[in-house]
Amino acid sequence: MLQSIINFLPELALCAGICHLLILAAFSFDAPRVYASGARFWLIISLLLSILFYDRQIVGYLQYNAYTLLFTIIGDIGIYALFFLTSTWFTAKNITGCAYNILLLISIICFNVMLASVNLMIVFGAFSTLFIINEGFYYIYHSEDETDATNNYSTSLIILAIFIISFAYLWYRVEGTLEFAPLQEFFIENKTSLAVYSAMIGLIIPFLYLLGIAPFHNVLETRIGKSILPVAHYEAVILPIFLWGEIIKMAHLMFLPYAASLTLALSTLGIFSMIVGAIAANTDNKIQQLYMHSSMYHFGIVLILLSLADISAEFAGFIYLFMYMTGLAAAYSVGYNLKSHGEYLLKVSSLSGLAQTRPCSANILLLSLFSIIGLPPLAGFIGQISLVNQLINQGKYIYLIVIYTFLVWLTKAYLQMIRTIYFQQKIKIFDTENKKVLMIMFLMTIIILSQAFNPLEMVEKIKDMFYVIAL
Amino acid sequence: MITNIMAGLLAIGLIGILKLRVRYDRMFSVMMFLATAYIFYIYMNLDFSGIESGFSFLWEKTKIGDITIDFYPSDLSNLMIKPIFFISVYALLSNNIFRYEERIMPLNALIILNLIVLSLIICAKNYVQLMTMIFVSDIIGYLTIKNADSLRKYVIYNFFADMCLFMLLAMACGKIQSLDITRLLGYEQIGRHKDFVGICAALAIFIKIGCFPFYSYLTDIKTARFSRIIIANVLGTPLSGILMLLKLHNLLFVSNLMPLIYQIVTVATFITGIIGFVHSRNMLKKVISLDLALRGMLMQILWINGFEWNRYTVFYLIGIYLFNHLFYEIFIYQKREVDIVNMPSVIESNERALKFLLFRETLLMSLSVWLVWQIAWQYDDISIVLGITILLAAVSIVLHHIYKTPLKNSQVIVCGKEKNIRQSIFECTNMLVLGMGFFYLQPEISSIIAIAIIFLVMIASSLGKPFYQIYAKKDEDKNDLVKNLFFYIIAVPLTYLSRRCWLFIDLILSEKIITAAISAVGYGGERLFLQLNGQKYRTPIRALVLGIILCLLCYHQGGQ
Amino acid sequence: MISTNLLLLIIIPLLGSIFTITAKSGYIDASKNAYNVAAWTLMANIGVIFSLYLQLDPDKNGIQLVEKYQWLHLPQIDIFLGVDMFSMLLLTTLGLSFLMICLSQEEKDQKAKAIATSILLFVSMLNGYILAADIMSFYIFFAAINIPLIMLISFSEKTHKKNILIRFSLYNLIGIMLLFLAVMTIYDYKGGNIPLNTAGNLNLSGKKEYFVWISLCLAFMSRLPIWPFHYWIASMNASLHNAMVFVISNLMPLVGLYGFMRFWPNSVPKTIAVYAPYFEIICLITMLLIAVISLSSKESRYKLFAYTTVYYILYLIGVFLPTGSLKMNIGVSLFSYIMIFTVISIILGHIEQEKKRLNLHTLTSMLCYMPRATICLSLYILAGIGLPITPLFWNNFIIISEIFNNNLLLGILVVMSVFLVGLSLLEELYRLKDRAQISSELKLLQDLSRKNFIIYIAGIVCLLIILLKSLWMEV
Repeated sequence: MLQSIINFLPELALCAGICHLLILAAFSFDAPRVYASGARFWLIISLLLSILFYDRQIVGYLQYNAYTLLFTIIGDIGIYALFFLTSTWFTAKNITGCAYNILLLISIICFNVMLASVNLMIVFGAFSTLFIINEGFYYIYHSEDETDATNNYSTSLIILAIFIISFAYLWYRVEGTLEFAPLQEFFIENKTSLAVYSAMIGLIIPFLYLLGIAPFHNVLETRIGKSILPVAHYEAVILPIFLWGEIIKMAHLMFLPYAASLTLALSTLGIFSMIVGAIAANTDNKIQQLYMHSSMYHFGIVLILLSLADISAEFAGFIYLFMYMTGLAAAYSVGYNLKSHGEYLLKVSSLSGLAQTRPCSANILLLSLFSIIGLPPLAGFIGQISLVNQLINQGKYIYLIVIYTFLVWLTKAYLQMIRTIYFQQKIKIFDTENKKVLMIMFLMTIIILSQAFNPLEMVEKIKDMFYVIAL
Repeated sequence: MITNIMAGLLAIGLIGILKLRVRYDRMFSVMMFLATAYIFYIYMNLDFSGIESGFSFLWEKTKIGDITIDFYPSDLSNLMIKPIFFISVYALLSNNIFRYEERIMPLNALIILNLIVLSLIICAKNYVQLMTMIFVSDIIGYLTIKNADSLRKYVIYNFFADMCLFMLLAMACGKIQSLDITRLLGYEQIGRHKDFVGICAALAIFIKIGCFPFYSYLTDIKTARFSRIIIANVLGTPLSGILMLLKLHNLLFVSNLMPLIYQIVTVATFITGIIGFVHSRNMLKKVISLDLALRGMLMQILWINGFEWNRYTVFYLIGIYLFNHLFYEIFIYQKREVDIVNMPSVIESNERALKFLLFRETLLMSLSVWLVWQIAWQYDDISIVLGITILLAAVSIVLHHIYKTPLKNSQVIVCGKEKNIRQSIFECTNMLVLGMGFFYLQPEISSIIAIAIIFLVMIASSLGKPFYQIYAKKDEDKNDLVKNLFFYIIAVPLTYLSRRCWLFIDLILSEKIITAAISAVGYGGERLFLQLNGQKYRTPIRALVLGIILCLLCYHQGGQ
Repeated sequence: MISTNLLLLIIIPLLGSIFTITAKSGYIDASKNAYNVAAWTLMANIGVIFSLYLQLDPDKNGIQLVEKYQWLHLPQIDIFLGVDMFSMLLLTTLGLSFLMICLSQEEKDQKAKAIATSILLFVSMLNGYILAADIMSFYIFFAAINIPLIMLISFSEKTHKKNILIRFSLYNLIGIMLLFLAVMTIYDYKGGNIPLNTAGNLNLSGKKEYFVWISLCLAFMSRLPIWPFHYWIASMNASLHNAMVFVISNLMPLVGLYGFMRFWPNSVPKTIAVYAPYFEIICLITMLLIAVISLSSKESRYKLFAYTTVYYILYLIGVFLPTGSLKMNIGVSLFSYIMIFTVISIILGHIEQEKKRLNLHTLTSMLCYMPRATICLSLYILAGIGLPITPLFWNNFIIISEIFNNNLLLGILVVMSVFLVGLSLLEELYRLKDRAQISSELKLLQDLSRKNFIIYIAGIVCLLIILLKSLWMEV
């Protein structure tokens, strides 16, 4: 009994947090920072407990290890900053943000469980919940423009249906438990079965859908463009970390028998995503959409690395992803300071002349974009090294040429933004910067700058934790 | 001793740069002259035969030879140094006596520094020293002229000449792999591209000397002060050009084309000089043209004597300066009137100094003609006889205009008969110099008298009458053929070419075409994306189906 | 005790930039304060450089005073710094040039803090680039130089040429990517990081050889204004009004040139050597055309850009000659050349500021009432075009004589380009000194301050001093 409680302590802490927030809501607390503070508190407790009991397990269902802890730590730090930043947003909008915080806490539980699961049923449950929570975010914090809503919900429904059907089919076909190891054996035995392969694809597609990988990007692209900043931030920065962790784990533990086909599929999708992302980024006037398309490009690269079906390539993909996310998180954090007359600025054109009156925000945004591009000595450079090293090792020069060709195209979009910020005349009066947000921005800047110096031999430690999945 | 002499000269030169009050300036400039004269006296009495005396400053060691700044004057090199030294001292005296400027110390300093530089050119044994000193002499010439209007062309022409010299010596250095000037003799055997080398050398030397058709930068300095013009013309760039010719004539004549070109240029220079001397109304331009003619003749003399500098050429060089100075004195005594038309005739104004000047001119002319005849006799060449005869006629025509003709626009100016002691001293010195010339050259007195009589008769005759019409035209510069030639053949096409290049290279044939093409492709991609994304209802479904089909296709391609 | 002098050359300007950016702004002497901090930082930097000279053995070839710092384990990458006489010369001249720039700033500028910070950052990265002794460190600093450069252009220039930033960044980014790919390929081939001086002896083969050498070539060429990819630098330079930014943007080709010097081996692989003549032809075309265009250009900045371009390409041609003995000649020549064009740029900047202040239409005759500026500009332009008492002239002589030895036509065209560009500078000088078009409003012009005048004359003295050891050739 005690063991069971210990196994779920971090999740229980998060549940306690949910209850706490519900109680606060029941008592009609209005201040968003109260909810955010509460959520942060329980998040910290959960994280500490996760670290303390990092190797708990429920045989056949959940297995926590260094790999899951790695993603938990990274994700939770990101979420902690998210709570901080979103509270300022909700305060400015005079919304409590209780639902947002609660949904986020539930997501964290789903993330933890999904990452730790070694059983497809758990994955199914956690992912479905996550999917619904995602829809819940959009439903609660929808934009006023409802023209695409039906279309988007329909598509999401189809994706969820594909996921359910695939899971159901596998559940039907597999005799016995749905653990990863037996599932892998099942896949080996049925390697030539198109139906089984289709079911496997059906499991992957929803992940790619949530990540916004082309050609499954349309809904996410539309939604992120119209979402509020906290939701877009969550969708763009937090969600992908955990989803990628799960994809890497599943690819490694379950989908190896289909390596050849998956290599081709994932690399094709990756390249397609890169191309579409780079081109689409140049058509954007909305900041969030620009970031989303940028993510399409970078996630395409991660997918390519994943397709190489090699643990070192997967690790390189993870490092690349991590460094990219650092830059993106910094860029998003700047967004919380970009207000004019109380309204948050969503368009690139509204940033005209930002550098003249808000040099701090402008410079941090500049630095984060440089990091995303991969210029040394910033964090993104580490990712670039890992990427190129892997591709050259594997002899994939064509991929390199495609990657860098479209990076140039993508950079053009970033440069348009920089040009708007530094070169154009100011058209809006920007509100005073929030000191708390500034603090987060500075912290992000320090992280971007210091990552390149590999403080505390962080990369090596991350590698040790990551490689647990190969054991 | 030599080192001390050079150090002394350098010190005097550097002191001259100081900007003092006018009163102190007079005093110091006299002291500069006296000091320089004393050093000259010591130098003349030194014995240069036997052991090499001088100094050598090691600048840098290189794999193709040591770069040194040498000054080891020998008897041969002193044949060049001593007359230049003499002229410099004479010029210092002239500056002190005919105080044309308020402050003359700077000009004196330039003369002395120029002397040092020319001495180093003469004694140069390596390219580095030669080129450096030639360039420094350009700068001294530049500072001497001190007139912005004149300087532009001067700088550009000299820059071009210096680049040709640079190119020439760079080529030679690259081939011979040595910096030693004596090894340039070997270029004829081992060198490549001889025609090009010859052309380069020709351009560098001819521009420096100011030969036809490159003389216009020298005629343009006519707007500067007379005293400075003389220094620049006689001791400046043209003289460094002559020294270059003496040092580098081997490179000039590696090409078979050059002897003919050299002859043509020499003759053309002489004729241009004579025409300019007779034709021009401007006194300064006359003197510059006279120098041009005299240099042309000097080039011919050097050609016929195998580019050997001997005692004849020494006196010839001194003679050039004396001629210049005599015309300068005319200018001074005519109250600094530049336009000949506005000058009164000397006979009417009854100026004693001018009349004595005529006497000195006659002596100088006679001596010069005799000297040239000696050269012609020695080398059996008639061309320079013809040349000196033409020169004699030209000078007599000009002097006729100055001394005899009551030209229009002139007013009788009573110049005054006040005795000027300094001028008298100078006249005595000049007579002394001429006397020394007679002493050293030992001419036949009967020949001298005959030439003098002919000269005076020519002045007195109506030889110059046909040229009165020429002076009626004021704007002679507009019809300068060479200037127009350069303008229309070089300047205009170059400007045209430059603008066309800008149009084609910077605007059309640049990366703009390539980047525009790439951008067009990109914009096409973006439009396609927007179009595909625009269909709101069907797009996500289509994309989903496409994705699934892709994945399924990979199943087959993957060989499953 | 392990020496960290080389690291100090990177750290000192970096700390200076942090110090500058954190300084208080908004008060009267803020801009002066910012430049003073920058000046002191650069002086400290120069002090370290001079201390390095004492430790260096001038007769020894190759990299000395090596310092190694661990960085990443996966992949194994260390930062390897080292120095030889060539890089010492570059460091010295860059330090002195930037010091002159900072000391000569007198205008109150709201963006002074940002500009001073960017300059110090740039100096730090450039020092790192010159000190880098292995391929990875070389790449890192090659890429890192762009960050302060983009910042400088963003801060200092106004809105009328918006596309400059995009084109500038894209071209530089392409260069960075190409170099990165080449370096990583070498890294992979050799199984690790290699010293820079062995980069020329790679012994690659097949497609890899082509890929690496072409990438390297294109990467360094992306910094050089080589036709047809010259227009972006030309238009950028012509439109830069801030003298400091102009100088820094004209140091970009130095980055490319230095890269060629370090990577390009004396004996180029035959597969690549076949293409070398084509490259030389393109360089020559660029040189000649830009020199010709500068004659008719009315922009003094374009003329100065043409001058810098022609000389950079001259040095580049020198690098491509099949002789390894020109390195020091190029180094000493660069020493003078950088100082010369820095000062010319600053003086022209001062003249343009005065023109703007008095609302004049043209720069013609402006020097007539600025005697100090006239002396300085005349001296530096004469030094720049070929005054033989500067090391620039003599080392160029050696380089050009080798070019002639290699190919006559190449030599002729090079000298012609050098002449044309010198002529255009002289024309500009005379236009500024043209007394024929003097107007009364020019009397209000402010000449160079005495302090700046002394600084620039000190620069000339510096050039004369280095003349004493001007010809660097292997004995």
